[in-house]
Amino acid sequence: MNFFNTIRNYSTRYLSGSRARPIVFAPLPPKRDGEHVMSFLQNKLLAKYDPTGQRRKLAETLRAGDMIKVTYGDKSTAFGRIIAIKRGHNNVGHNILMRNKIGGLGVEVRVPLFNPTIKNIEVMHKPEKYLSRRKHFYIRNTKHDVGNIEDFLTRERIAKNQSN
Amino acid sequence: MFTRSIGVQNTLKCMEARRFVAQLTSIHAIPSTRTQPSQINHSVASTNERKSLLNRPGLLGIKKGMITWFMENGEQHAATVIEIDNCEVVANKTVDSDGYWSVLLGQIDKFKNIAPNDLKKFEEAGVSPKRHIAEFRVRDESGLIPPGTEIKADYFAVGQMVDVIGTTKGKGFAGPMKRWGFAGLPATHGVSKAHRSHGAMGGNQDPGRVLPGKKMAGRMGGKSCTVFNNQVLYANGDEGILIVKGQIPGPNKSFVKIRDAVKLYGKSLLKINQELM
Repeated sequence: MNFFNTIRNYSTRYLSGSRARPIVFAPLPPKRDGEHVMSFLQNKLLAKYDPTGQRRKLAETLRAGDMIKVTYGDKSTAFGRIIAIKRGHNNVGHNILMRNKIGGLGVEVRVPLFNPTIKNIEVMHKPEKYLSRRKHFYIRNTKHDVGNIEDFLTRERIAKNQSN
Repeated sequence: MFTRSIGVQNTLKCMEARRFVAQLTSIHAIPSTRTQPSQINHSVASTNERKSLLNRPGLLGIKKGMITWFMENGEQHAATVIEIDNCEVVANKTVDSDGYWSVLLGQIDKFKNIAPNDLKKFEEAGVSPKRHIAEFRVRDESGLIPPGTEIKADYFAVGQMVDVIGTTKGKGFAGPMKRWGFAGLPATHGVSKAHRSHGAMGGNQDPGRVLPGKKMAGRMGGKSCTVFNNQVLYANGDEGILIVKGQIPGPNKSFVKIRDAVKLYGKSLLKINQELM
């Protein structure tokens, strides 16, 4: 069985002296070249789920107030305005909380940034002036609340075409 | 040696009671029988037979932290990372010497402050001195592993279930609401300075005392705890990493024992013998 490693350097003496002391065997070589388990694992997972580093770069540029379009693996899409970003420290635990209003009802979706089922995240709109605070939980059901994001984006696109 | 002359005694009693009654004893009557020696249930041997055990020992590890784990279908789970660092067999216990079969394992090499007696044990096993030593009982002799063998994280297969044994985080002296989940007393309606206390402690004159085991305030946490049936998500022997689904007891950097799920894979010798029959 491969998990039994019986190859050991038994001849190595860690302690030696004139008096008869018990032999202490040399330690086994360090695993992962001595790197800490968590950092080793997180780097490995980031390389697996974000090989180009694109998502990590995106996470740095995103901010609460931006409007995004998320494309899933089954080509379904979801629009929303970011109200909070949960950032991990060099790990795959990042996620984005985005809010939209569909049929007058507030809908919130949490988007795991490094989940392999998410194909693309596109920034659709960045406001000229941001609301204060990193997390916009306070906008819910106030005058700052989001409208229908898809309608807003189509109106914006039409206005842009007309001005051109 | 186990002869019981019950038949004879009964016959004598009958004769005494009916001394003056004419009686014939059949020539086919059995005056005495030889019975099987009865098995003593409250003994080490039969306890070992009844105990549900695994056919191989587990592993020792260090809890390192929790991460997000994505399954192939996109499901997202919280998972715990356990480091398996130089986990080696130190000794075996046998029925002849100790009354049961078990494997003693050690983990993490340690070179300072080791008692001479301990050093001798490690020298016999042919391993470096270890920081932690723990024992795993196995069902029979076939579960023993020769001392000096290193066991790696891929000892466990991905997808199998494991139990993780650890010591929970100490919470200090905790009240009944935190320790036992009591509801506490109302906020108003005349309650004074007792909003987080327990209510009644039991009957009054009868039984006239608080029954043993009453849930009260006291030291919480810092006790051994086992989580059963955690799925193995990742196991890599060369990296020394084992990832299990869900939570395990204790803080990061704490010592844990991992074994095959005893509720799924454990069996007693008695049950095996019954199945064979």
